[in-house]
Amino acid sequence: MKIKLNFWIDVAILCIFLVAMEPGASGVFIHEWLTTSAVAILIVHFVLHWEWFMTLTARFFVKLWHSSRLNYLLSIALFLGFATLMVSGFAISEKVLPTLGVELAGRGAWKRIHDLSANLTLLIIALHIGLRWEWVWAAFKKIFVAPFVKERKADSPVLIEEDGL
Amino acid sequence: MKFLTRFFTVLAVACVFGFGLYYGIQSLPDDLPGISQGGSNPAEHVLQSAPQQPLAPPARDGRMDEINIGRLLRSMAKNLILISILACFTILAVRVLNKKPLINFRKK
Ligand code: HEM
Repeated sequence: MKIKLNFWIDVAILCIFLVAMEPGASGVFIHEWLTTSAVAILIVHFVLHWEWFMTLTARFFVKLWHSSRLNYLLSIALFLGFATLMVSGFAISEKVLPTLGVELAGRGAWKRIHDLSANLTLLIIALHIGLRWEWVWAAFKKIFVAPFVKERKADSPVLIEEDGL
Repeated sequence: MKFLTRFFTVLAVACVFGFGLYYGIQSLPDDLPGISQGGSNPAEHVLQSAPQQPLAPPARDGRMDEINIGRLLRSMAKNLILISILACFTILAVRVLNKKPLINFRKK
């Protein structure tokens, strides 16, 4: 259940991110409201990995060089990347904040920060997926392949045996 | 309950970082390169540099207020391909660093 939930949350975040990367095509209205509402999904993603994060935080300095350290540092970079995207997005907001009656004193640099953090976050997402590939692949097989195979197993056990050859 | 506590803890950490970043950038001196004063609206900058001759805001790239599905799908595909290529390189790099075979032919 947790694997399925994690998997679909990850897929949703990736889709929202891909839509957000092209505000010229989605329109600024959709861009702002979609990404603002994605804050909740992002936080749920972090919360679902809370235990992993806390365990590694406690053990970080015990065995300093290990591949999980890279994963850990990358997840912090990802958090900061999204937070920077949101803050810079709000600083240049044309729809969400004015609708909420908030006026921020933005400055020219925010647009550049927003653009830069979007590109850096894209890079970090790619590294994150690459480092977690084994999990992604296992989850994919569990969700999309296993039920199908199980069904076939129940239907015709002979077929499975043949497949195994 | 545990979930909510964690949810709001993450939100609080994000807010602390966010406010820190916002006020940090806002408090930078105006004469730093790349930091311009005033709003982030490009039209304001045009007005600031030429106050006697108010100009219309510069035309934006594409139709920023309309949805263009074709362009959106193209851009999503482009970024997805970019992410896939970078992820593939990461997977290869991790396998090389962990001294695992790149393709395991013997695996059933
Ligand atoms: C996942 C989060 C986000 C991503 C990946 C993202 C990505 C982007 C990208 C790539 C651009 C184009 C930058 C350029 O070409 O200069 C952009 C522009 C913009 N974004 Fe975001 N953004 C996100 C969140 C937000 C949020 C939360 C807001 C505000 C509530 C926001 C408001 C804007 C605005 C107003 C623009 C300028 C559009 C224009 O050129 O007029 N963004 N964003």
